[in-house]
Amino acid sequence: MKMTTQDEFAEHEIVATLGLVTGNTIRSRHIGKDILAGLRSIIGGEVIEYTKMLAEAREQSLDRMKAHAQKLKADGIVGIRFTTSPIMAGAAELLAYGTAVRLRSRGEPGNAPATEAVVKATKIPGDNFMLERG
Amino acid sequence: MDGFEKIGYACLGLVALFYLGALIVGSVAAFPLGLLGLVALVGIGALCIKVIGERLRNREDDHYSKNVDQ
Repeated sequence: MKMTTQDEFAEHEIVATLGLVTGNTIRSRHIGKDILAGLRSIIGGEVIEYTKMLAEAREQSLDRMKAHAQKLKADGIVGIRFTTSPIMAGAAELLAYGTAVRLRSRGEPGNAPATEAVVKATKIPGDNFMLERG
Repeated sequence: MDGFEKIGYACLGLVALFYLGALIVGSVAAFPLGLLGLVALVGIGALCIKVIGERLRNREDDHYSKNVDQ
C-alpha cells in the first residue's frame, strides 16, 4: 500500500478515486506509567512514557486506515492527514484519514512518461514498487 | 521495567490492597448503610475484572506495546 501526504504520486497516476478512508484510536498508559510521567514533568526532559503512547496511537490509526483502504481494494492513499482531539486526560486520540485511490504506473505501456527515460515499475515483496530507469 | 520501577509498583500495589481491605472492613462496620458502599465496590470490581480480562486477551494492543517505541 503506497501512502503519501501529497495529492498525487510522482511515479503513479491515479485512475480511480475510491473515497475517504479513516482509522482512529484512543490509547492510554497504565497508572504506573502515568505516575512516572508526572514525576518526569517535575524534573524536565522527554516524557518517554507519553512519547511511546503517541507513537502507538499513530501506528495503530495508520494501520486501521490502511486496513480500511485494503477493504476497498485500493492501491494507495493520498492526502493523508492526522488530527487529534482531547477526549480524556492522559490518553491520546489520533484520527488518520486520507483518500483511497487505484493507481497505474506512469511507466506502463500506453502511458509513457514525458521524459525520454523509460521508467519501469516492478512490484516487490512488501508494499513498494521498485523503479528502474532504462 | 527496571528494579526501581518494580519496587515502586510493588509498594503501590500493597498500599492499594490495604486500602481496598480497609474500604471493605469500613463498609461492613458501617452496617447497614455501609452495604451501599460494598455494593458499589462489587460493581467497580466487576468492571475492573472485565477491563483487565479484555486487555489480557487483546493481541493487537500487545503488538503495539511490544513493537512501537517512538
